[in-house]
Amino acid sequence: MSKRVPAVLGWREPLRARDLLAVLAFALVVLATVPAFARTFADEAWQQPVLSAALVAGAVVVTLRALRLPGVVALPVTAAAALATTSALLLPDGGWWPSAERREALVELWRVGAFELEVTPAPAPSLEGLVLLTGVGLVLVTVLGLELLLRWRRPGLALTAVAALWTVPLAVPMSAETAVGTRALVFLASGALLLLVAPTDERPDPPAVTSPAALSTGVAMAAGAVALGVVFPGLLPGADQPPWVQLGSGSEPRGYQPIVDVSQRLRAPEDRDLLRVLAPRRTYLRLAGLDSFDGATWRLGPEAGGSFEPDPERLYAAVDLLPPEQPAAVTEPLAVEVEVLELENIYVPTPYQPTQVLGPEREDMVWSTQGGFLATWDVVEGRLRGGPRVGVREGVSYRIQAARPTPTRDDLAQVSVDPDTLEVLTRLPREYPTLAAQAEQVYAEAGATSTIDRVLALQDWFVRSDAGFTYDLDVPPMRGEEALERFVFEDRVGYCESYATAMAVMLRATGIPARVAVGFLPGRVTREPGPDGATATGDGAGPPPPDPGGEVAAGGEDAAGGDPEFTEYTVSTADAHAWVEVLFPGYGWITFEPTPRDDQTQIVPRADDLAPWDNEAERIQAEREQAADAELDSGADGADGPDLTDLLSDEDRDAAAGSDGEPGAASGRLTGRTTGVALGLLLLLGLGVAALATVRRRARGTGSRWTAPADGSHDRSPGVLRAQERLLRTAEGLGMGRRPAETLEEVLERWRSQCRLRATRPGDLGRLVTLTQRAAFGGACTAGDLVDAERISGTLRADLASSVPARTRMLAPLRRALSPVLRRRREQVPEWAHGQARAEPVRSRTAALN
Amino acid sequence: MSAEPGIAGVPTRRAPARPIPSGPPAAAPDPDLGHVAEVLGAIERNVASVVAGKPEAVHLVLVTLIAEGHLLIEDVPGVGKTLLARALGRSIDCTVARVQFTPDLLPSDVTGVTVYSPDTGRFDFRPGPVFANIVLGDEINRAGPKTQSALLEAMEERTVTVDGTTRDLDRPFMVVATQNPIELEGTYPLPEAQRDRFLMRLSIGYPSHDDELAILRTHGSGDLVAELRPVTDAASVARAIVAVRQVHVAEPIERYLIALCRATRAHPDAELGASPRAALGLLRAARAGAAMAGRSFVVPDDVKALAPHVLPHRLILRPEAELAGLSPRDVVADVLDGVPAPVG
Repeated sequence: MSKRVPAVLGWREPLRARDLLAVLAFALVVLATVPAFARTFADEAWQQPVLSAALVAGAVVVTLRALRLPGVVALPVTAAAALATTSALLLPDGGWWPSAERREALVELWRVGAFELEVTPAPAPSLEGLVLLTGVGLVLVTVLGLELLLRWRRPGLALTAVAALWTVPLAVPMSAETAVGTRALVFLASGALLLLVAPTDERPDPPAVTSPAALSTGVAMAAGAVALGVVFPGLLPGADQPPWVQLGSGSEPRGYQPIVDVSQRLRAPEDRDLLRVLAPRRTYLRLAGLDSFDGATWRLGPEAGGSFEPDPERLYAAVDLLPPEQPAAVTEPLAVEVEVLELENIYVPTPYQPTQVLGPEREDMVWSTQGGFLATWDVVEGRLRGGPRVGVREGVSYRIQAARPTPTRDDLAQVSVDPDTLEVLTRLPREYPTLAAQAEQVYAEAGATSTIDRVLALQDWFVRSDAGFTYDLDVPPMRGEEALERFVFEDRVGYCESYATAMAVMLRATGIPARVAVGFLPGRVTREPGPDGATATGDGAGPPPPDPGGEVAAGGEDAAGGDPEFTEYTVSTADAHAWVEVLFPGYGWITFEPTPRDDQTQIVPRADDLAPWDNEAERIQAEREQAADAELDSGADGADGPDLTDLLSDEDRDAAAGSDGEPGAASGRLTGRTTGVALGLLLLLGLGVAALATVRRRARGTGSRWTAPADGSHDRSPGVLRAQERLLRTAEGLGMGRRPAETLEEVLERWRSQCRLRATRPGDLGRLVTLTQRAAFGGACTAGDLVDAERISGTLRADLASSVPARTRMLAPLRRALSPVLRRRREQVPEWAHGQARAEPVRSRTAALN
Repeated sequence: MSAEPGIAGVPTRRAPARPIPSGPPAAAPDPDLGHVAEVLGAIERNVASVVAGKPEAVHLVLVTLIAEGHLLIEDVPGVGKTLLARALGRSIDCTVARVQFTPDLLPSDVTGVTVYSPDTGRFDFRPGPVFANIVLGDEINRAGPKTQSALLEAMEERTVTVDGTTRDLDRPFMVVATQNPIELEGTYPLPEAQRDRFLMRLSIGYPSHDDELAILRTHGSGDLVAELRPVTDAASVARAIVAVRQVHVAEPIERYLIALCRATRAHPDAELGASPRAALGLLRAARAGAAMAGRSFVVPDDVKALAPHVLPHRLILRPEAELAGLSPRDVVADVLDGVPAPVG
């Protein structure tokens, strides 16, 4: 410990040219992390504030060090400077002087950033929160790294800190459902363990070059990480995620990732309830319509790329009546009340298309007629300002009046789209000739000529069983140039994302304006309508009854108390969904459903009813009943969907869900997570043991130093022994380690006979033996001895390394890290060598002598 | 090198005996290693001038000397056992006695007798050869057990009891006994108890071709040993012994040493392992070895270098191991190869 003190107080030494060179190198390494982050951001707006914040913070550190300020002074100053820099450069309207207001803004933005991190898939726009998180990370690492470099002179550790920056971009697309904590824990633990196992590059008093140790630390960490990744690929951050970098392909296709990652919700290891909905009938809850397709991902807004800024002209505060996104001539009013159980989101789940939001939450909501989404927004004094914020969260509840477009097939048959709109809404990143041909073939087979017939034909083609499309969550994300074609023509296995994407692309390829919408299925019935249920909903919180005019009378918010018409639905993660919307000017965006979900909870529009209420399960049930009724008594009215049907269908659904592979898959994932947790705990345990061992070793070292004679303060024996230790560990990594019974002299003799020691001078081996023997068993060592020992140890290590094949050399850090295990396996000390006396007594020799 | 006939039991030279202070002085952290090196270097060169090509044997003899041990040289006749012992005695200006052990040798021939002196009218004690600083016991296994055990007491206790009177021996005191491992007929092999009292057993071995040639040329012309001049005296050797006692032994070395001895006891081929006396002997030998290497502290290499000479003659192998052709030396080598050595 006491050896560390001069290192900490390194501020007394002037900065040398070598230090400045190191700072430059460090700056380069930090800059090298920019590409990693660039993958996670869709635009470049984040770079300038983040890099300048890191630059300023780093400059402060270097300046303080150059001024030779001691750590006690430099640390607070650095912290203050980092805070001021963050506030000035990363806050939207920040200043250099930190005030309470800015602090609050910082905290709030940090929180927003955390949410954005969770809900925004990569590549993300340069949202302020994300930029703040990135900037703070970069500033912290820069400050830490430079301190390690300039004050402690531990370049290896400084590099490790920078390496942490690389893991951050890897964690960006992961949300809470994917056990990112567990994975991060595993990696943190393994990294820390390796750091402990790897030798510390102790700085000897006359500074020696420490780079070999730094390098081997890095190599050991990398090797350990690779080994871990190979053995447990599921633990890797980004496992099962589409790659960010795909070599050999410029277009970089990705799996379909809408604003809310449907696939992640669907694949959550266990179902969680997100929303509780009171509604008269089943209805899709929509988050947003995604207008542009880049070949892999459907995005909100025009396809200009980069961050999506909704057109302010098309934003409307939700306190007023909401203008329709598209005028709809034929609508049906619908009122729902939504209580958020667990969802955290910017976008508000709503039936399409909403006309009015009720409840206090509407103060903070905004309606965009571009993409047709309702979002929570920063609203100050009634004016829209700033940007989106995560307003949908646990405990929030709101009521929505919506006007559901319910045109008939005949209404839509005559519709035509103006060329400008058509051009925008049929834009595709490339030609899809085979898909277009397939679509045309489907149309032709169905004899469909009008747009609506064509859309229905295509939808039926997907849903119809004889096309061979099956629903399965356990499919790899769509990757590669021809992924969509492969899905449609070869695999035909997927889930809502694949189906919606395929159908929308096929529609666009055949000149029909379509887009993908994301949101939730209606959910399962958790309370039946009726007097009991209504009473149980409590203080008259039931939504108002449907108003034929589509408007709510004043005080209508309270008018619906105890209405027995409302069913309570619970929406869970399993209900996350994506579907297709097709624009029919004058009638609005009409929902279509290409996904053949095997639990039959989707609502499929049909030619005779383009906006049905029943989901497929109910419809099939009703058809079955109808058929049965028709057989018995054609006069019965079975298609009305009595309450009983809901119950039955739910049971059916559950049974269906139980029979498909879903719960099994979920339990598999659960097992994977348990393994991850166990592994993490194991590594933590190992970490603890290693730390304990280190502490004890240090304590012992300190103890012996204290008991040393008066001049023990100048004794460099521990340093000499460390040099020896490093040498032996290197040799062990190279497969020439000391056998337990060998003394150093014998080891060196062996090396001399086996290896070509080029750089080691003739007297060096003897000198090293003398020094280490003195350090270990005899008297004190001087600083000169330490320098000698370091030098000889260094040249010997180099000699040893150069006398083995390159392959052995590459594997050396790994072997060294694993040496405690390997050594125990390889060189068993015989039991008798421990001196355990035998159980049997010594036999009398009298007989033998005679 | 011809065996001198009969009983030669009279001390040839006699120097005043100086007692050696026992135990290290209270505050003497640094042993006078320069003195040790000087004295022993001189003896080593002197002895080596007549014992050709056996530097290791000479070294071990000197280690035994300053470790206050006794030496058993066991080898076939004619390889220079007696020569080595005589050369050592000649090199130090001290009393040297030589006893040729024969079956009819009596204990009093070794320890001395009380005789009536008509001049004084009293019984005078006439000291035997054991009262010399260096005692050469040639062919010790040819004497009867009674005589052997007379020497035993002297070796271990460094006292001699004759007619009920116990007399202290001079210091330094070292017995160099030789033994012929063949021609066992009519001999009394040293029992284990007695072998244990020798610090080392050493065999000299045949010289190399060139050395043998050199022996022919040098020794053909006369008795070289008789021409050797003493290079140091008993007092200097005694000082060296004191210095050796102060050589530092670190705890890991002590543990290593004990581990070695315990391992011989646990070794599957050993019936009887090294005793605690063996551990003590190894420690003394290691100290002496370190001092001769000019070190004020013992290192594992000292222990490893000396254990093959200090331990084997104290081990008894299991009959099956003996039948398999193993020797105690093999067991010790095995132990040295198995017990982890400390490096720091």
